[in-house]
Amino acid sequence: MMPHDHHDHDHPAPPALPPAARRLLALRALLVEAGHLDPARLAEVLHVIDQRSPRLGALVVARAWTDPDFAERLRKDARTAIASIGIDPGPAPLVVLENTAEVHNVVVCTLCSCYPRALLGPPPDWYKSRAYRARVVRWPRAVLSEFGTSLPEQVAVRVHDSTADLRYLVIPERPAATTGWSVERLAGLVGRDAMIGVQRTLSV
Amino acid sequence: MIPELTPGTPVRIARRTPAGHVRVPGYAMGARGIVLSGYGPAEDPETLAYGVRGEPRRVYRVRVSMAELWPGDGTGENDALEIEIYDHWLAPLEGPHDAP
Repeated sequence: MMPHDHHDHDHPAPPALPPAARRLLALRALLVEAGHLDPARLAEVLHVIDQRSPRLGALVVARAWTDPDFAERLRKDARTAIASIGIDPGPAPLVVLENTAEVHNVVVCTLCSCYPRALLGPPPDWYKSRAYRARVVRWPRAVLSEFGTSLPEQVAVRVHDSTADLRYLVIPERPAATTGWSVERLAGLVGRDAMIGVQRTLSV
Repeated sequence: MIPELTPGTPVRIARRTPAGHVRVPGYAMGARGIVLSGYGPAEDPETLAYGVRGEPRRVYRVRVSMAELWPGDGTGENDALEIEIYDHWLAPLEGPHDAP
């Protein structure tokens, strides 16, 4: 008898999960069974993570553009300033990096993938790639140009390696011709890549 | 406890390869830089990795010029790396003759 001879009806097999997903599910089941993990708490945490997106960081940037007092507080203590406008800044100390006509900032974590998740959501895959992590500290201008950002010679690059306890948010320059715009409308101009620093110029 | 480093202090990042978890990327080891700011007390990740709360640390943002990291590479003269380094990896530079 052939192995499949018993098939007298259709029952298509579900697609197999990748090995990493199977490991994750097995680990989760074990942790729940052993009482180390509460599934309800896990669902809550996942819900919080799902709420985070670059929109939050964009609101911080737009507020900094329009409110000099907030911008000053952001420079001194970013976490407290951000909490004061009703946005959860996350648990880690946060540093804002302001782009100027003379300086461009770009963020990487060469050791892993540290990222201001509270303000930007989960990092993009390229941010976690070995290529980005290894190359942006070695050839920052070349890597930026691969993202479509060509920096004039006179603009200095600051590469921030987020190796430890701090998180970084780049504040791009406010585009010209946005005078009088509301915070909401300005925030619509600010994307994730600009707040990581691989994009310099915002299009209006 | 290691004496606190004030912003502007010239420092060198240690070059060593202890066994186990190390929180300084190899490319920055041995480089000279300037302290920008300090934070702490911070937990030492190199002992925490093994479930041990070590000495309280300070963590510093240190600016290192790209020319120091990659000499002769033609990177912009003012281009720089800013990196977080724990205090036990930093030593104040002795003077202008503390060559790499």
